[in-house]
Amino acid sequence: MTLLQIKDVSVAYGDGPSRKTVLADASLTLAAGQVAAIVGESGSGKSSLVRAVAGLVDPSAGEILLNGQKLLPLRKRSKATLHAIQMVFQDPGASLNPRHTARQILDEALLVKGGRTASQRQDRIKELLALVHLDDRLAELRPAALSGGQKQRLAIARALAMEPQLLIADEALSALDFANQDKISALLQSLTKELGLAMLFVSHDMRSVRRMADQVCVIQTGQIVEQGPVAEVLYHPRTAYTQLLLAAALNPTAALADPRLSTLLEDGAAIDDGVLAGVMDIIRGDARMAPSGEGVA
Amino acid sequence: MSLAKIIRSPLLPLGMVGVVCALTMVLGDALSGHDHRAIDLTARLLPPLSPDHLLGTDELGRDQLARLLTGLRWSVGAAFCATVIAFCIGSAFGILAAHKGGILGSALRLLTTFTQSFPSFVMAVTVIAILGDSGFVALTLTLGLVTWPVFSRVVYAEARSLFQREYVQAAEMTGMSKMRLYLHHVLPALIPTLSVLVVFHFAEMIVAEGALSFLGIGAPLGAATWGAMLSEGRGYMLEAPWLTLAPAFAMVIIIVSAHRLGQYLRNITR
Repeated sequence: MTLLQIKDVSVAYGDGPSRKTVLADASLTLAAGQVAAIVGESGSGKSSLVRAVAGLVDPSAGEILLNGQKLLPLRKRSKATLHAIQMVFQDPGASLNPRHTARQILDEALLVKGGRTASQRQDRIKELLALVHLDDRLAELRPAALSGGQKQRLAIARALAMEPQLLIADEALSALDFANQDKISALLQSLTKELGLAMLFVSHDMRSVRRMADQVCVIQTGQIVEQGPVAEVLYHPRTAYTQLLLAAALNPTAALADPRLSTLLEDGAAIDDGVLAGVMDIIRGDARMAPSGEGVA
Repeated sequence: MSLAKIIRSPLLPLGMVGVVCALTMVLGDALSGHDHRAIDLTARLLPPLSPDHLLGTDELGRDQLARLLTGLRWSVGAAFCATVIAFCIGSAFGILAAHKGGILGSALRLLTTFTQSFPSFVMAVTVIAILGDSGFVALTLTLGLVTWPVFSRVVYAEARSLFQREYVQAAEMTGMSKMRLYLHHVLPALIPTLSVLVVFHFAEMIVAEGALSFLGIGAPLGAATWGAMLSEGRGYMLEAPWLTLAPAFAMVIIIVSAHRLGQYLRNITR
């Protein structure tokens, strides 16, 4: 059953002559319980796409439907729609109120969700903390006293407290160290499977994409250049851009030696600076992650 | 906290001023042993340290200490209430203007600019003149209603950036009520700035109330306010300077204390 439909959505920032379109005519369909990964270089429009779904930016064109209902701007959405879409942000420290303890953060989410007494909320907090593998003793701590991974687990628990149908993870692994990236990635994977959650997963980490996603959407400079089932896109990429992204993830050394990359490096006119920067980002990122050349496959 | 720590605390002198203020506000002229309205023409213009009159008497033989204590109640009370009114209106408008787009947000910003474009003191004089009524309620309402843009502008600027913070966005995405969002997520983050602003504004309101009473348009005729005492003592500057010095010193102590408190709060919240 189709949960989310993104139809020809464009996002632009600024006014007048300085107005810049960062995402043009993006379309994507996501079924309930499915995970769609959004990949691309920094500044390609990935976050703008998911923030439009979350209601944090208003699309300049197109429409987004959830369960067939058009999504309005955030402040005009019904409570049920708001609860149905939750987001885990890139910086877990910035996404949690620094003045509230973990317990207060979860309790407030459950209070807003409604339908539970105070003692039922406390029981549910215990369950949520267990679900994201957080020790119950951490509940009395404020975010500043938690590690990056613990903060992100708490942010995930808050999102789950709303019992969403769609979880948006906007580079939720980027601000974490490598050990925590793997753990949080595994946690998200198990949660989506266990709870039947649909997820929009923005990431640079191709290993997590391959592990979690059912479909992949590749964005280059504001345009979706390729999308399809994960096996198709990752194993039979059609565009040179996707091939380069994957080559970089598979084997950074080989990717650097790839004649296509060499050509792009030599022929400045044939490549957008952003594309190159993105490719290099991924090469560097995965070189740290898998120096021996282990990667996607 | 040990006694030594309390003695060394920079807040001790401020705390003492606060306690003295609170006590005198509660007890008023009873502390002096005189009724501040009692006229005794046989004891006119007695100097300070006279028997039975610690700060002397005025031109009608009224006890200067009793009038000063009553004036404290009036001046601090008026300044406090005016600050609370300005804080409530200014903060509410600032947060709403920052959160609401569209016509309401623009209207609130325009109203703030419009109100602030008038010199607040001149506006207060005009409003009181139009009301044609002097009294505590009219005075505090007027001072509060003409000075709220000070809070509004600061709160607007801070709240605008707060609404872009991810934890506020995450809170909004849960669908909580706007009141809960403002009170639990936005206002607490503004406390460091607002606490300093409130204290400085309070000091300004002491001066404003004194100035209006000095001009005779603040407190009702005959009320023992510091501004009125300064005004009445003007005619006796040479023969009875204590009539102006006592309320002037009292104002200076309160204003300097408020400023020190503001500076302290600014330092600890920086």
